[in-house]
Amino acid sequence: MPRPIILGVVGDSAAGKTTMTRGLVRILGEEQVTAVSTDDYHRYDRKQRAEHKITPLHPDCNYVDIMSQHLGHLRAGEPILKPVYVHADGTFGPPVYVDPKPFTIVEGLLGYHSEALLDVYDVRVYLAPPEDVRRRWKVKRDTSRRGYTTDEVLRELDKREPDSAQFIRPQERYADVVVSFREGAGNDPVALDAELLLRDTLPHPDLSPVSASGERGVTVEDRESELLVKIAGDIAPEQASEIEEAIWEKLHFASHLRSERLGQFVVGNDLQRSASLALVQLLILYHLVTAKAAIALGGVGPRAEAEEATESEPAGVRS
Amino acid sequence: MSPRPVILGVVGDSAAGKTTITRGLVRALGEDHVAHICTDDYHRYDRQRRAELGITPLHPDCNHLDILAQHLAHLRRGEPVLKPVYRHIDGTFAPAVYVRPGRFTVIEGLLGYSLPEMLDIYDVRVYLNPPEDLRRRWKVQRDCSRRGYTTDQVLAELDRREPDSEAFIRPQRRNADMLISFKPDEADKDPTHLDAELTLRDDLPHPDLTPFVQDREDGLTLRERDGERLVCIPGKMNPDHAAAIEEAIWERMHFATHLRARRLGEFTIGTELYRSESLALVQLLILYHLVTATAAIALGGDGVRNGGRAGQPALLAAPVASVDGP
Repeated sequence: MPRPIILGVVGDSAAGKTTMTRGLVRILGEEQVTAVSTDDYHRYDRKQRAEHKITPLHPDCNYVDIMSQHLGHLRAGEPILKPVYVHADGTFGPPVYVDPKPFTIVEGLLGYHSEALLDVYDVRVYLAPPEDVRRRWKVKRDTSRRGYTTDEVLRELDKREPDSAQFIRPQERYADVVVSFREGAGNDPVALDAELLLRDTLPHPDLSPVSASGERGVTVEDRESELLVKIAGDIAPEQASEIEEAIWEKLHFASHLRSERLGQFVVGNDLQRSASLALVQLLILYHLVTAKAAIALGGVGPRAEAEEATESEPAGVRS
Repeated sequence: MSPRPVILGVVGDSAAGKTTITRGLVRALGEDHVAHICTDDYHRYDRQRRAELGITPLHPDCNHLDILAQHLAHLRRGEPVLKPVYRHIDGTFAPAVYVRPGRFTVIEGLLGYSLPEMLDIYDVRVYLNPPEDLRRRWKVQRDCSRRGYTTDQVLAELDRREPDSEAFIRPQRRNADMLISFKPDEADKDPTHLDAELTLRDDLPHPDLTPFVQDREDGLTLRERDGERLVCIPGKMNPDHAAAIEEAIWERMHFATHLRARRLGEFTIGTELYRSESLALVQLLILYHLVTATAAIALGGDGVRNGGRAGQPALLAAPVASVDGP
């Protein structure tokens, strides 16, 4: 079997990692994806963290070395015995045996913390919603699904802020794709705008034809070594599907994946759909699918190729 | 960077004496310097699941042998692992624990030599091979006193395991550098003075015991077969004779005399502490390899397996000519 393709989805707590991942898993097929949460690599359980006064965002609170060791094995197509952290009660369970599937999605807080970790990924996504949006999401989730009160969640957020600033947010610079969902002009929480930074560490599909059509909905701004793409939450359905078609056209060898819908998410118990989320997921899918195809044909994958092409880039990029 | 850890394997069937052999070595080397891995932690199924599936823990399918091999490779490179934990007390699994390799790492268990890729990991491979009737007695003694089973339960379990012992455990004997059988003296069956029969294979350079051979009842005997030597250390060895042999072996470890403070050869029956000359000598022979491997590696060599050929240039400052003779 060719080696698995590894996607990283990194971001602070409640930044939308699971939402982003879920659509990708659905479209790739559950049986094709190994999902790993780096929360499983916590060093201390909830009680110990309280005693040590350490937040789960701190590298010392996580086995970062074991994380990169395990991801290295998965990338090499080898199984691991993965630790298990139980969010329901903040304790650890017995480890579980994980055999790598064709795709591995690594989701978590510190996925890009070390050099050794960075080398593992074929695609590196960082989720960077504005802090006020993230705080709202975290309150909503932790009060409804993890049994905390609003005050508890807000206090916890404040307590974590120094570690967020020091350890989580700096990881943004290592991402190939930075995603910020934010409230747009309509203030509609269901139709969020998406702002994407597409860095030239990966060859992204060319979106200029669709943005040049003059219609509002998608804008592309060319910056040094990255593109800033804005997708309006209320993008016209025709324009959204035009872009989707253009991307799927480039994925013509994988049209059998189109049966499942992208862009779904839940608010409370309601299933919603967002056109901007769908487009963002499709852009990520594009990289997973092309990397898979390249490696199946004996290639090294788009990242390695892009790195080779920019071999002469100035040192200190990862300072 | 610190040199890679030296790895000892102690493999054998259940209650073959693995813990007894290991304990003295750990004491001699110093607890702080020894990481200890029991391969039982790599069981795939807990006790209840094994009963449902009708599988014994001796069966390779009942163990994550691939993960064990992976973890052993990490430890040998000096890297930490997140080790699973099996609880003998109730037969379930606990959360994994972080283990950093010590200067010495002892791997103890049932299936430590079962995959080819595991074999290269070890600096010293010991297999414990007591006669079956003695092992059965040891297992009954231990499992009744410390694991809460009845004699009948243990005997029934032993019978149930026998086919797997034969198919999967005992064949690992062929991979050992040292095959060790403790057995009772034919004449008086004294359980505190067991004879030790050692098969020493040539892939490790064992100390030459020829000068100490004494053709008498309480003396050491030695027989050569192709590629291996059969050494018998009588349980009732004359203490002066034993001391002379120990002295000679320590002499070859002159750079490690600081380790001599701790006593070898101790073991327990029930709650009583005993000492056995033959056990002490066997442990010393193992210690010899651990100590020389550490020394060789510290000097840039690759250990002592296969005569330490890779390590020799760093150890011998002598002229090339002297390498000729055996």
